[in-house]
Amino acid sequence: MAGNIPNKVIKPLAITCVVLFVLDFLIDRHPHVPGEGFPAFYAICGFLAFTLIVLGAKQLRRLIKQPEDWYAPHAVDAEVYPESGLEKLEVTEANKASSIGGRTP
Amino acid sequence: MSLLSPPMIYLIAAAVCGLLPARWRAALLLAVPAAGLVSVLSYAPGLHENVSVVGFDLVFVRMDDLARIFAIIFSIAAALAGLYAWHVRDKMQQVATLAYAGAAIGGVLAGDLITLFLWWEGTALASVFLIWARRTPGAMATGMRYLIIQVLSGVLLLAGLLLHFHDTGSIAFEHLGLVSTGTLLIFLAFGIKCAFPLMHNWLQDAYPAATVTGTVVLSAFTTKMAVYALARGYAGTEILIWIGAVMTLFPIFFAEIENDLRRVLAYSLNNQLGFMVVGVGIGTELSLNGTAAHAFCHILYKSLLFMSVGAVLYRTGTSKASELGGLWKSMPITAVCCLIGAASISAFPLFSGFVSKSLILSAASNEGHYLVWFALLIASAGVLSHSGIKIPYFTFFAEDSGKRPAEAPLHMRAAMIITAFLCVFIGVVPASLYSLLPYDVDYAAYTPAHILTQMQLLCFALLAFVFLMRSGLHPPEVRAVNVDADVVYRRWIPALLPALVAGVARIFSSGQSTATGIVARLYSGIERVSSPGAVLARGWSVGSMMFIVIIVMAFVLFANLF
Repeated sequence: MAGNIPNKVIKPLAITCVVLFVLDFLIDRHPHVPGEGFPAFYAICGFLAFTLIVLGAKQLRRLIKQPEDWYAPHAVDAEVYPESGLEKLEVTEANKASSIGGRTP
Repeated sequence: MSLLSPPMIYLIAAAVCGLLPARWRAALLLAVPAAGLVSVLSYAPGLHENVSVVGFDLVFVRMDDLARIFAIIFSIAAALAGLYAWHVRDKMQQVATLAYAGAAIGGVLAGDLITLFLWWEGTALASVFLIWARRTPGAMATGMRYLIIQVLSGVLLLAGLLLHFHDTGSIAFEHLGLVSTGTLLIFLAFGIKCAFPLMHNWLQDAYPAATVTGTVVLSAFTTKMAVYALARGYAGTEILIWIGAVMTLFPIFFAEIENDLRRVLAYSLNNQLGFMVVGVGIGTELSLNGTAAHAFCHILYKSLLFMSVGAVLYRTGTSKASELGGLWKSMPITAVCCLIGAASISAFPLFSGFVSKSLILSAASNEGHYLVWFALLIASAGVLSHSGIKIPYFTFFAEDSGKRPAEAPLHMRAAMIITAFLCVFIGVVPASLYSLLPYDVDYAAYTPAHILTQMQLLCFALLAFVFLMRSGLHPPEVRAVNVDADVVYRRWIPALLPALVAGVARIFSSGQSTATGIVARLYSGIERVSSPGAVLARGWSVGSMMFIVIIVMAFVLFANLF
């Protein structure tokens, strides 16, 4: 699953980030929290916070992960959702038109 | 009380709903919130629908700016959920939805604590049927856990209000503050429904267990009624700032590794409540405006996210990230609506979260709560990670699961598109929301500095996501449950209970045999001394009796000398 983000998404994002970084020096941010005036404060915060949250959560998972049926039968985690409450429908060539049109069989 | 007061409209509709044919019932779920909204807007500010019961003056409708904004958004949420649930034919869910929405609106309009208590328990009783409606053993057990905790909250509220009445002689639901045992109990009752840390587990346990449509309904009411109650009773209570800050942070980590996307959204809901609780704790006009505004926006985008994940569940039978991916190809409209919900909760400019969350952050920095302000900033990046990226990315993009579910039914798409429109409309025209807030608003959300800083925060967080995915550091979605604090009452106490019961029984039986042994010995002793010829049964001469009486009298005389 890693690395399947297409380049056509990454490129505009990278350009946006560069532009935002440059704008940081051109627009007065009116900082009034101590430290907020540090160059690219928000960019650094965003990047570091996100990274640390994800890596922290990864460590947390090692501590608390259990099999899906750990609470069974007193929980829904390992149960199949009852069919009566669903209307499963796959798109095939035959029903493509009708499903896009909104009608359900 | 007038039959046309908002909660009564819902309750009467709930009562007759079961007697109507299926189509009518579905229509009722749309018509009643509309009628309820008209009723809400028809009340002038002040106390209405006063009823005197055994000496207590109950106020069923207290209309002011704070109550009104919550009653309005509850009505809108009920209508949108009604449209989303147009296909549902299950009477139980339809009746429960009407009764639940009515009770929640009754709760925010309640002018006294007894009325509040009635609606408070009403929401608990009505909403549990949305979980039981799934009709599986797991959902039954989950619903029972949910009900016990919700009723416990009501019992605490009742105990608190009795103590408070004893202390002050008043049942009015005005500012209470943490000043006595009574107000502390009421605070805890509100805290349970508001999912304070360590009181939060019912939320993540129950919401993913409800039906496809039930979760959308559940997400709107209970917790926001609690936020309203805190704003009414405990504005400016400083401990709420810290409770709120913890609430914004800890659910992020659980949301990040949770596989069931509806539980991810439940953790995310918990995190959003944190922002509102901080706003209540700061207690300035700006921060309370922020809490009300954020509750309003949050109900919309959270409903939208639950709707889009619900539509996926409805079409594929699963809401687990590990089983999904690549669905945008066959569900493009649901995907776009989900992205709008994700952008709104992440507070991108032009979306609703941007104009509401910033009120609370500004209030925190204005009042000098820099540490809390920083926590909220970190939490904002965290919101992006699980609600902004994880929900849409692992459902509609990421690795193709090969599933090609059909687009959501027309009525679900209509509900999602209307909700998405409202999220964008509020983001683009914030004045529309600001005019509903409890206090006058002097706040410009769209300044160059605010747009720049928010975009920097979010875009560099997105960049971090790309970096983590590319480098393979991002944790994969796997089928698992993650243990939270509820393990205490779901596993540990039940596991310890048999040993505890056996221990108590052992102590009891050994105590019992010791006691009977003592009694038996005493009895045989008495029998021994009083049997024929023994000490007590012997004949005593008058002389020796006189001698004993003289000794006793001498002792009494001696004792009286002192």
